[in-house]
Amino acid sequence: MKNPKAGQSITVRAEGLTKIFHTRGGDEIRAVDDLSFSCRSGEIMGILGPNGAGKTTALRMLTTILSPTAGKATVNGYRVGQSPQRVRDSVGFLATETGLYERLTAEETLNFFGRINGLSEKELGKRKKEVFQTLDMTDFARRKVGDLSTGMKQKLSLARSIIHDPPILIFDEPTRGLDVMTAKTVTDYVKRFKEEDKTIILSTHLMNVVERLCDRVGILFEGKLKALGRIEELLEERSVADLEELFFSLAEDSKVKKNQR
Amino acid sequence: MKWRNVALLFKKELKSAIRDRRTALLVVIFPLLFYPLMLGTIMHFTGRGLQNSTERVSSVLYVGRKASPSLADAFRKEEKVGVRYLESEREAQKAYERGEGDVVVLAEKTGKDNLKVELRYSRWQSESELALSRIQELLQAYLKGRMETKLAELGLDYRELSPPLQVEVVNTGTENLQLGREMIKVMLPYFIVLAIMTAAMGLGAEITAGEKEKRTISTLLVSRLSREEIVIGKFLAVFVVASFAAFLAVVGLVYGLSLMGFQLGLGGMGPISLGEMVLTLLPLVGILSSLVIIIGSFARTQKEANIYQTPILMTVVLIGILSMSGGLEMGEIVFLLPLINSLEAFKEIIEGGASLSHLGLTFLSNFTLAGLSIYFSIRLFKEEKILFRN
Repeated sequence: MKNPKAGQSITVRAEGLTKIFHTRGGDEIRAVDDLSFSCRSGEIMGILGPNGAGKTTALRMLTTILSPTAGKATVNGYRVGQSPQRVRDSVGFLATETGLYERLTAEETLNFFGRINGLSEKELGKRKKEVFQTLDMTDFARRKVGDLSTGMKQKLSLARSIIHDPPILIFDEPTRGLDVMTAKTVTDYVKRFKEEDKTIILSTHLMNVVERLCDRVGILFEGKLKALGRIEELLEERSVADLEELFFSLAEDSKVKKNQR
Repeated sequence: MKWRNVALLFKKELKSAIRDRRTALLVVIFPLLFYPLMLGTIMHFTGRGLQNSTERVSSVLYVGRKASPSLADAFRKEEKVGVRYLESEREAQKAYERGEGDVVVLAEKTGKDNLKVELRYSRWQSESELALSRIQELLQAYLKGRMETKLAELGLDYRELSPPLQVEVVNTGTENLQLGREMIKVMLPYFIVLAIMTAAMGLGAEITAGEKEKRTISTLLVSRLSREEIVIGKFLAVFVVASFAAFLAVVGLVYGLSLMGFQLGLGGMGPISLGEMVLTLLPLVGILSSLVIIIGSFARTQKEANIYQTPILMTVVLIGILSMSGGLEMGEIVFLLPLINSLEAFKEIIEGGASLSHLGLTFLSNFTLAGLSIYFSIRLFKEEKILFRN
């Protein structure tokens, strides 16, 4: 059973979320096209798609980094375009590609991100203690980020995204480019955050990550959501054996539709 | 905008910058050691060049020895002149073109006691100009001697007939002091601007385009910091570091050159002059800092930012050279033109005669432009097309 707490309140909702970019030649690129989904607390929602499918753009809109061209989204009850700061207060964001400040120590990194996310000195001290213990970071707290191993850096990135104890975690390709051990560390912590009743939305192009972690999955192709639901339901709907088969069957559909256009 | 948030980012950027060896090199080592050494070397060799030129014997190609043997003899007796007598103008001209002489003297008899002397020299050629001035002095002395002799033959005294005006030129300083003051007046502002630019460029590119390249920017954007707070925090970090570099450049150049034994004649500069310097410099630092932030926000990588910064650096160098040449004669307008105005105002401050209107115009013009640049950098930072340019 993957989602014992499913059915709790909806914390993230996207309705017709669309993002259009323009090329230099003036052509439109619909990076995300009419994306609608919702996600509850204690749920891990996976967004699966090939490179360029619009996963990162979708997550960037949910985290207020990009503003939607059309549609709306609410995060923790706040509209993305209207209360961006409230939305950001509610969100922890992590991407494997996201770097860290090499010349700060691990502790200084947490101090900085804790403070810019609104924690007081007292709250920060308490939270740091918890995070250091949870992620087993005490040994390298005083070491400069530049001197840390990849695994340590990944732990620190996780710590940075949860330092202000946000109810919603948005992870963009959190295991991309990581070795098996480090990737496992990340996925273990994602499971742990779910147990803490947090909402987790993660994008990936790795099917095994979705199968192991996610309660529900949304599959994106060329900005459009082609499938959304519990994995077993989707497999049944399409009469396919596994996620990989489902993915390729949707990819084929998408290709046919594109050719027909 | 919450200043608490700005301060948090500012402190982080500053801490990061202090721990960077490149910052130490550009902000501390360059202004404190490299620039004084560079300027000291320039001053040393300029001084030596001047000394060499005054000791140099000017070579004169003389045609028309027979026209006035006494004048020809006067040339021969002159210590700093080496004269070579030639028979024809053509021969002298050819020798001059071959670089065998600094000046050609053509003496021609035009009457019983009348003589015409033509001097041929090359303007902008320092040896030729030096030879010309020596010959002019020699001719003046010769003329005076001839007048005295002639008047004495007529029973008259030259001193009684000469005009009742005596002009005496007195050199008030040592050559070293004059050179030092002139050089520091022209070059100190230029080196200060260079110090500001090099410090601002490195840090500015790193904390803007570098954030994009290392993809740390998204973590800032998904925090409580607003885009205004991010830009202002980063701007302030560059501003403070660049101002510190400017301060160290002043300290390094003034004290460094004094330690090297150069007389700069800046003893008269008091707290008012220093205050004027600060008022002139800070808005300029503001302009340059916001410019690097604008470039850094636009560039996708640090390398790209460095490339885009190069034309600005080149412009600064060009304006610096223009200002040093002293050829910028645009009246009051010059004090409305950013960068040039600071360089010119700085010169006036060092000279000890900074006009209040010039300082005011410089401050107002630079302050306004700095404000506009910061506003523009905030606008730019809010543009998705710019921030996530692909």
